[in-house]
Amino acid sequence: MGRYLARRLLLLVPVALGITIVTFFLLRLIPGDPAVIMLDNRATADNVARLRHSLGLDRPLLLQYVFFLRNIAVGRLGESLVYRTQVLPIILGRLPVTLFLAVYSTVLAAAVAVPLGTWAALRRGTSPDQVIRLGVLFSLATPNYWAAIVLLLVFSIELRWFPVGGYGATFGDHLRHLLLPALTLALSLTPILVRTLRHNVLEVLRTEYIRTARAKGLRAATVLTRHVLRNSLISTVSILGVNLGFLVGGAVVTETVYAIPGTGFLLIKSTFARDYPMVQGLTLMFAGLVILVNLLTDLTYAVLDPRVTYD
Amino acid sequence: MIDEVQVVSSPALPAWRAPRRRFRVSPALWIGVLMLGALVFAALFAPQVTHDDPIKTDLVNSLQPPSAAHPLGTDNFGRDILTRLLYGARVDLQIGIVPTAAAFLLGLVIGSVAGYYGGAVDGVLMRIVDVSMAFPFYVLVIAIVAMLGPGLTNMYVAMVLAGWVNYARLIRGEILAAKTCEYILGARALGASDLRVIRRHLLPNVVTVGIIFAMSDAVLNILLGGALSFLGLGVQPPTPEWGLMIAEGRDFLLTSPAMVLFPGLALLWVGVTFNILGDILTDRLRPGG
Repeated sequence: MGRYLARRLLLLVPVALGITIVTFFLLRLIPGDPAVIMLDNRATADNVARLRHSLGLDRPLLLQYVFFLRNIAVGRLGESLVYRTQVLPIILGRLPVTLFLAVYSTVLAAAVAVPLGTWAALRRGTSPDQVIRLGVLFSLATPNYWAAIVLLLVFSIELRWFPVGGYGATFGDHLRHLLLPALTLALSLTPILVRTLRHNVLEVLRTEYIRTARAKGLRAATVLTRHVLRNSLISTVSILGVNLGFLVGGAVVTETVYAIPGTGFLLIKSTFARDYPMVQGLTLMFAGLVILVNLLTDLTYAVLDPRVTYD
Repeated sequence: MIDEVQVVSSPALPAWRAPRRRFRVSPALWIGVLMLGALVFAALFAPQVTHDDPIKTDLVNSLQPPSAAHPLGTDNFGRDILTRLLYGARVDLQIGIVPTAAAFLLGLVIGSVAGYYGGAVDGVLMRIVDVSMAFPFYVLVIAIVAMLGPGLTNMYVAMVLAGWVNYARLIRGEILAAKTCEYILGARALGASDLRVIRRHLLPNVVTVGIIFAMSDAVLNILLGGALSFLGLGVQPPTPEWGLMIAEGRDFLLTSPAMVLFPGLALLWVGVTFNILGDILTDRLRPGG
């Protein structure tokens, strides 16, 4: 396990470097002089020269990249053009909100997907299976921003059960404020989990050890919980890790609709404010988060499934 | 010596007939094709179905409820919602097709080169793929649009730059598996050039998997295009696009829910259609896959 971890960390180095290169060149995608565009109507010659210097744009490209890497190493991702302060503390201040939303929606999705996916597989080809598959089809095709608006209209504006937006102050507040946003995100994640779990359960049901378990007289419930679900859920864990990127993307839209002060909403606000260092910092942070969670998922998978070897 | 020749009568041997391919059309396929047909019809014949202008404002008739003249009512600028929905099908189908096809082609070329040549070329190209896949797709697209500026063309550029990697990885895997097959070795032994082997022998056999993926990718692109337009980063007003129509209707939820309801249902329609057809295509072209 230790060797596997070391090898995985070593493999992460080129990917992490690649991420910094992409993020570095992101700012160079801006058509024209980034300093002029960032300053907009304040783009006097003095201001442009000052900003070009502070962004390091007056240095050779390679040197710019070296400085960029050095700054990342000490946690300086650039200065926000809107907040006039380093972007990292602002991002870290908003990150817990997005992570809370991601975990909340995953829990909700799993709570619905595990029974539905298992039931659909156990009743394969019957009416309940068909209904669940139809639900999956519609759920996959539903735009989450539209679902967000409909939920907002029904539960917040008409019925007044939940707040229209925000995050709240206490843990209970967070749960209440983020229920509709988490449901919105879960609506997109649930069909993916149901499909994966249904497929995995069907695969496990075909195995010899399930036949053996039944043949030796174990109760159906024991076979299901001890053997079928346990083995099916292991491979579903990896799907959860892979879908973090998907959740983060969904969070950008959902946070914007519900006006939740998370990193997704910050990305959209920064885009419109032309706060390029903030967009750059957020992109870097999201990519770093994805590779970290993928690593943790792989390690969890290795711990959960003793058959997995990584030689 | 044969004294008598007996003629075998024809009924003993049934006349040869070319085997008829049994192509069973499932109800799901019918539904998918009909739904796609309705979409294409709306996109192609929008000017014939409705004579209203999808862009011209008519403030006197703003936020009208459904009537004979306006079956789904009018929006806040007095534009007929049905007309904008029909014209919106053009834009949204285009969003489903253009970036998907471009990403497919780019991924096809890069994946083929990486898979066929292997070695350092494959190593470098696949590391680029690994890096691109570390970025959440929505975030990367939004970041690129943020740098290039909002608009349909920049949205396409961002979708292609972020989307080609999936195709490249998929096609590379297929090429790696196919290039050791005997017919490829045979083609090489006959002196076929690399380009000919890839173009004539490998691609026709691996392109199916790309087409299947493109079906689901088209849905994702339509939903993403709608989301970007909804956020103000994609299609710009007054162009009729369903995501943008939902964004425009947000402020009139209580007075005119139709402004949000019907564009959402239209997007749902597209998603369901492409998912049905994608599933059927997967079943037919890759049984068990």
